[in-house]
Amino acid sequence: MIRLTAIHKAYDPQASGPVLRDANLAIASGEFVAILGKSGSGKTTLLNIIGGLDRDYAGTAVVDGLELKRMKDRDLSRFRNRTISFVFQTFNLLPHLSCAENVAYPAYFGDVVPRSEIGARAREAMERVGIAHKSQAYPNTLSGGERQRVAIARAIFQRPKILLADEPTGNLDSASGQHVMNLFLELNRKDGVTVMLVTHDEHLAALAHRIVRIADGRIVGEEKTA
Amino acid sequence: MKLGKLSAVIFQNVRRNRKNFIFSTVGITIGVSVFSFFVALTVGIREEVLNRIYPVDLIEVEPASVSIAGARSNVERIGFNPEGVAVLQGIEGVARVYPKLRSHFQATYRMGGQLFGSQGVTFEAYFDGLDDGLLRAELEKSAGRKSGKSMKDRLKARYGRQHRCYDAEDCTPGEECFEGLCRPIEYGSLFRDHGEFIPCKGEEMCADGYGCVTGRCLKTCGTDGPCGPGEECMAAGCRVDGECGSGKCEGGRCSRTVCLPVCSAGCPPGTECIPETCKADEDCRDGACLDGRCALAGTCSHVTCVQNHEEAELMANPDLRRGELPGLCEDGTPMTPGAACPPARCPASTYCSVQSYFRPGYLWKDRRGEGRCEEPIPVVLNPIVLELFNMVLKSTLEKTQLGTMDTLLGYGGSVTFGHSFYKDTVKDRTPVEKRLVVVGYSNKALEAGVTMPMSFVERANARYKGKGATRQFDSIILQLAGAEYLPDVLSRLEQFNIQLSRRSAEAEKFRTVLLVAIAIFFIMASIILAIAAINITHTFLMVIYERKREIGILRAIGATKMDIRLLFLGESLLIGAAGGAAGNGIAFGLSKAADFLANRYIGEFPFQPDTFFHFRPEWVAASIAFALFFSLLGAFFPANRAAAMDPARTLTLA
Repeated sequence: MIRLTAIHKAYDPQASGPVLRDANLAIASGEFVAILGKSGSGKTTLLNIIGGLDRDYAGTAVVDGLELKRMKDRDLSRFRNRTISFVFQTFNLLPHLSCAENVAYPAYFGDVVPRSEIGARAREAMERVGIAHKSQAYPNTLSGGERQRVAIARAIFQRPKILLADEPTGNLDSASGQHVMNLFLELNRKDGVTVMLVTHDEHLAALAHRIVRIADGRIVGEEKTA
Repeated sequence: MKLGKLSAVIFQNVRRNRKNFIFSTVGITIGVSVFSFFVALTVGIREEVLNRIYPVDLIEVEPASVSIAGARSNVERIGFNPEGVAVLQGIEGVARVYPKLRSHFQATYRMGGQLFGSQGVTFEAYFDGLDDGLLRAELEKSAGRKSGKSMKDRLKARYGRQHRCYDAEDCTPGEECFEGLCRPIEYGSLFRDHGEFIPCKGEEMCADGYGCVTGRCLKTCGTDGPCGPGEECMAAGCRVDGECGSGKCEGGRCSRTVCLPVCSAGCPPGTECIPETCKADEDCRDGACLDGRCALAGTCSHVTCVQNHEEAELMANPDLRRGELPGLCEDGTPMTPGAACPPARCPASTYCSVQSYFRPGYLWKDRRGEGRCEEPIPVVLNPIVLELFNMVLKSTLEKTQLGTMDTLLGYGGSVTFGHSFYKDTVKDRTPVEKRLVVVGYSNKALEAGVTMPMSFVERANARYKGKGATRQFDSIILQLAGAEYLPDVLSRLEQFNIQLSRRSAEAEKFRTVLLVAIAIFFIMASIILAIAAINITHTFLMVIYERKREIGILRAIGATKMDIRLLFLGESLLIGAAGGAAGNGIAFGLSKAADFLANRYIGEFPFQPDTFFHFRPEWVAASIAFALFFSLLGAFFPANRAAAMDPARTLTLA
């Protein structure tokens, strides 16, 4: 599903060293992988490359059979709209839209969901994450855990194949964090969504099928969990 | 991203950024309002004032006063004659050509009645002639346009409630008797040369193609003509050689043939059928000579009448102008001595034209004498006359304002050819007075005078100034197919060594001044809009900085670079549309205020329009397009910058 070969990335080679160095990684479809590393180790950069948000790197990134670097902006945008979804640490909800509108927003930029089904699909996604009762609320009226659940509902609205979660529990209390993790596990288990979780929390990483350790831009180890 | 979805997102963004939106719109609004206000003012002055004085699709040309043909190699000379007219008619963009013949001699008008009072007013007369066929067609067409129906339909619509009549006397004023029924007078159709009698004493007094026969100018012809409808080419009866002009009187007939109206076609009002004299059947074209007269063949001749009333009586009772027919009762029976009967009079549409009334020192005091029944000379007025009357003469003469030109239709007056207040340039030529009747109005007519059928003016010019006065047209009016052809037609005219008339040249100058004014306002508005565009750029750059994270989110969920670009450009289009609409609204409001203030403080003046502003749809559309353009221009750089943002970086760093 995901294959990274010799990925090398540097933002400003003069000022600092490369963010990623010769990173090689393969993730199978339906796998739940945790990328574990300290802050600044290159986890998020790796995630951005896989998600097609960052194209300025050396090496090859193939996701769902598509070599991302060779894709045109239009195709890459469609890829982000249909194939993958992001869940961020800071939720990244649009404050001027209600929860339901935030969830359905990806539909504006693609045609995966027919216009007549947008409402129903958004409701379904929100029910799935247990936030349907807040559909008309605005993000700034919600708690962190609720916001993250809205963000997850938005991520699953298009029914993606891959879910990229960047420190999704970083801003949550432990109960909310656990709830979020349970959602990821359920999505992975029931829907077969490939989940890639970036975290620096060993306990959360332990919930994944596999842990990929990263330090100073290098993938330093991989281990299967029990 | 589909248009519907794009629009939805744009409206969402505008709703949440109302302040920025309004702030950005202000500059555009000011620019558009300045542009629209001044353009509407310029166009209004051009269309509501200038075009009424100088119609934009009419130009008048004259022969160049100073030939410059020698200095230019590409000059094609054309004469102001029928051949020249044909050449001008061939120019692309020229819809119709109206040759014009000015009066070359002095005359005076005498007007009274409803406009100038029973005492009457006399003033120097200016008139010219236009082709009656061309102008009549235009007058009839405009009459049809006004009613929205063809002449046939108008008559048909009226037949059901029309009165039966024998002649015009049975009908009310403003109506005529047509095929036994009264109908409104179709004044436009009256614009034709009725062959009014102008006496002559020799060939020199007649226009080219005419001969002085039996004391009047008649069109000379060969065996086959050419003669007009209702005329035939024949030898006029005579008694002595002098009656036949350059021909001789042989056997009671002139040796040269002329066009004479024949009875078989029906004699026009004011004329009667005079059977030809004969000695034997073979003298008559119809082969039947009875009691010295041909039974069927004859020519139409003006009916002799007598005017026994003085000027004051005629002014008080215009119907008396019809005079009396000597020896004839009203019922058509001969008058018998001792038995009183109401006298017969000239037909209703005619008057008794007295030829010998004029005596120096007695002018307009004594019109009594013998004359002929004639139809009044039809004249066409320029609509400017109405303005001049309402603005100048109305207060001077203490008269009420005239509403429309239609109120002048049927109005009559007199013209005395050969008389002037300034100088006598028509020695040995007896002045002749004729009646006039207004039959229509056209912007091709003379502004400070009247326009008559050209053939009549031609005959009158020859009568008072000799043959030479009739050989060339004085000017030619070109009716353009549209104002847009003007530049091309003007450049083509330059090649013919002819120049614009003073009036048309003035119009050109005014138009140029107005064009320059529009250009200045255009530049002013452009500067304001350019500043507004810079303001939009600044605002959008701020907005993009504020929305950096949002742009990253949109990119993360599938927005393309083009989507991001279109979102900002779409917002700018909304700013432009709102600014354009608001600007035009403000300009419209200001125009109403300006009109109100002008009416209140400036007062009345000639050609004063109801409004000084004309908001033409194309200019309003142009102003909005202008606003959209500058808004897009202002947003272009920020939109591209937003589209080029690195989504990973904006999400990480924002």
